[in-house]
Amino acid sequence: MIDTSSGGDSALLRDPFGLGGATDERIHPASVVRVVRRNFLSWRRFYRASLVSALGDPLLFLFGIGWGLGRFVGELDGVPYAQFVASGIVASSVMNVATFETTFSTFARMREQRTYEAIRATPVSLTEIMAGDVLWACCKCLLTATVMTLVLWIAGLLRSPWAALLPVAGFLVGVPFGAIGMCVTSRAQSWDYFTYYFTFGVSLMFYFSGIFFPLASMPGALQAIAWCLPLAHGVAITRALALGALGPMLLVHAAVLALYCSVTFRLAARWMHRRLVT
Amino acid sequence: MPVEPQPSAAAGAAAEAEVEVAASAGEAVIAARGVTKRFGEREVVCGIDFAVARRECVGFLGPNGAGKTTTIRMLTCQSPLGGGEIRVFGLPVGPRNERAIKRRIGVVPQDENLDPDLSVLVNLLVYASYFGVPRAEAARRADELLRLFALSDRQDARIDTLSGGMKRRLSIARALINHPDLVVLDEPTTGLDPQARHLVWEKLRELGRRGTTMLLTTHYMEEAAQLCDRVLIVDAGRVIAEGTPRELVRLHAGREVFEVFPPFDDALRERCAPHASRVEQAPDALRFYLDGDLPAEPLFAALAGREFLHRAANLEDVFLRLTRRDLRD
Repeated sequence: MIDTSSGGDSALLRDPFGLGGATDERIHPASVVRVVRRNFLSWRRFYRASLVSALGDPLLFLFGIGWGLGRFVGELDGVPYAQFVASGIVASSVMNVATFETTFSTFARMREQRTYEAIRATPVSLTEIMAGDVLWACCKCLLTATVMTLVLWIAGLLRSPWAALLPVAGFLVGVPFGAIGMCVTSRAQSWDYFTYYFTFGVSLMFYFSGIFFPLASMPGALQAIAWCLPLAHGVAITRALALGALGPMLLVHAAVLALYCSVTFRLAARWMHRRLVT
Repeated sequence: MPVEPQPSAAAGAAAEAEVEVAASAGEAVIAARGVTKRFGEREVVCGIDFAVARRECVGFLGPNGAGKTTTIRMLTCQSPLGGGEIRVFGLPVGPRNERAIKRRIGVVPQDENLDPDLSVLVNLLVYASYFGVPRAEAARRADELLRLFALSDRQDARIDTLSGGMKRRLSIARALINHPDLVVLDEPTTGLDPQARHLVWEKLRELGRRGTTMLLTTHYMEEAAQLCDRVLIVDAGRVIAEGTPRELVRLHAGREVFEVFPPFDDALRERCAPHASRVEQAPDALRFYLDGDLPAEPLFAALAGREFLHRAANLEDVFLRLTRRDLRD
């Protein structure tokens, strides 16, 4: 995660956000891990509620739509409908978990609790705090994806041994959504601001990223737009693993998500500095 | 004169080695020259010069909006320097030395920002981790600090169950967890009741006795007089006076004061004025200041039969005198 967000060559490492030396922006992995640990310690107190909300919604949805609607739909792309939806729901759950964490939770830490301010008085830099928040969001994605994989496996909705990699995929797919959430948070002036992103970003992606019907069934122009959405690539990855339909296209999907994450994290870091370092 | 650290991978280590040299050479912990800062059109800090020596407790005394917090945020590397130069531990404040400086400073913010998701003890342990203090050592320090600040019995409590005074003490304890060479406190007792305030003062005096270098801001004259070896009076972004509390009082206020409360008339003023070194008429009181060895007896005689207050001059008199210009505006 840190590698993807801080780039490769040394000039980029020294000033990855084009801030012209305004801050000491070398990312120290140890500092990032300390922020993750802080979030873990605070999460330990609420982990039950956190697990219930992360798992309950998608599973209810899956059984309602997948099995309920599935009886009328039958098979899609040669796959029973419940299996088809399940393979995509893993990606959208990861999106939700990562998004909630770096929007609402990060906003609370940044503004209400002023945790960002407290940590900024220590040698941990603002970019490291942000990276820690994104990495923590991905840890929660890993957990959600793991439990979902188990439940789906028990329900007989996973048919490939490659599905064992779903938790890892969940972690990695979480990165771009965590970074995008950070961008939104760095611009948010109030809680209401997130409504826009949840309606026009998260919900839109949920319905038009190929979870419920194959993207190929949409008109060409809409298909092209859908493939610009990060969730479409996330769904393509989890579906390939769940159904065992692996191919070289997986690399393309991963590359698109990596690009998303690299661009949005830089943008978020720049906006957050402009907002907080005054 | 310290050498500028090279922008290499070893910059951190080099900076630390250099700090040792600077500190052992007895250089000032903070040396600030011509510091400025503006937010948009508004100039908040307009050229401040000051220095803090090792083991010294220096106070910024001034009203709200004087530029105290802004100056503190710049020297603790939380806000970019507007103009001028600040050296902390001999290192120029700036992006290159940010981590090296922050590693050795403890900050007590004006508004408490303890971690509400963590218990009292875990607040200290997690904060220690940000400085890279090893866990066993952090546990030892946390235990010691909780005892010092009388919080041991609340170590598992959540932050929102603590009183204001406890929170403030915990904030100060947290600022000491990295064994800082400089502790910066922004209005450490604002908003506390008198009892809590005195307890905080007692703890800060104890730190002072241990030789901790401290810089604090306050708008309580009494706090500055109680805690600070040296006071800088700041107003409208400038330092308008500097010295030990005693010097400042002697120089700018005098020895003692007779205060007469309304109603008062010109006749009274004219009768007493010849016996005072200075007269100040404010809406709330008429004050006669006595300097040097001017005797007090004539004033006692002139004020006979009136109710008045006779007291030693204090920092508040200094402050009111020096900022009188503003009151008149």
